[in-house]
Amino acid sequence: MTKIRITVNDREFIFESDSFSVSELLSRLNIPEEGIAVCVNGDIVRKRNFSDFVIKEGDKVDIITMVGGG
Amino acid sequence: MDNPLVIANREFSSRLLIGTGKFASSEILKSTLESSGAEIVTVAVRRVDITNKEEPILKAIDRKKYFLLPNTSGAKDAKEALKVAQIAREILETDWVKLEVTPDPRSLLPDPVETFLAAKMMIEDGFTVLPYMPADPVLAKKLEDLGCATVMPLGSPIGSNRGIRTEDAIRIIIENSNVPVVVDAGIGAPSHAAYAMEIGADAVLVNTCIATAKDPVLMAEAIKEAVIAGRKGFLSGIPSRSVYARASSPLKGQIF
Repeated sequence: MTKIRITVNDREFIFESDSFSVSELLSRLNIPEEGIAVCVNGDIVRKRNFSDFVIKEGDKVDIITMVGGG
Repeated sequence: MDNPLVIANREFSSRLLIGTGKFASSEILKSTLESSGAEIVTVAVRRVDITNKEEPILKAIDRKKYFLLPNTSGAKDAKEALKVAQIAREILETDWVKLEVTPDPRSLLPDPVETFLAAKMMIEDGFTVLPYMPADPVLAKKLEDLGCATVMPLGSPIGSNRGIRTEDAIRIIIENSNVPVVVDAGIGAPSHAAYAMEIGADAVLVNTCIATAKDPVLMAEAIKEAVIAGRKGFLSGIPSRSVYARASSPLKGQIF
């Protein structure tokens, strides 16, 4: 297992994994895949690619949802 | 009888759009939406709070009953607004977006140049764009010509509750517009909503006035009725004004 250090919503996390997908990140953070979008280094990762898209050391991840707003 | 509100070929029976910010709880939001009779409901795009997971707002809003309109609030320029719209499209699977570009955090006034640029980029990217905009008739025409689905001029700054301070410009926008005019921002009382409708707005968007009222459910009902009353007033043809009196009782046959 290798350690990767990433930033999620401006917070630093270290995970142990050899191939760390968006789906795996969400499951480790206990965030359901419904009702969210994920950007890695500013680019949107399409939902259908969540399980294939591999997050790498130093990546900046944003997990985004809808909230109340006018 | 009144026609439905038609935005981008989609019919809506309610002329009241509701913003979902600042509600004390999901329960209050739910009952407020119910009493407002609104169909179009705006939501914002934000990062998930990883440490403190609240109930997601999408769970509080029944998407079979309400048409969700994501906004681009927080965007400071056209590029940011486009990104927010694309993220919202990914989450909600909707092409509709309420475009907001507000670079100045104090006034939250919409940036006309960046709003125009964002609308252009969004339309090219396949979005149905409803732009929040300064009450500027020239800009309104330009946004309409670009292909925006509505124009949404402000009555007064967001959350200010100061009512329709831009009346003259809004009247010109209404007169010239071929797309629905939705008065957005500043409506702080039922009378403001009624007034916007009386002068011919096609719809109004209200958030703060309802969400921060002591009784949001009752306020939503009051605004709903005000919108209906104002609309009926407009359709009935409000008579002209006069500086001098015009007697209501007959002048003929007076005793003295």
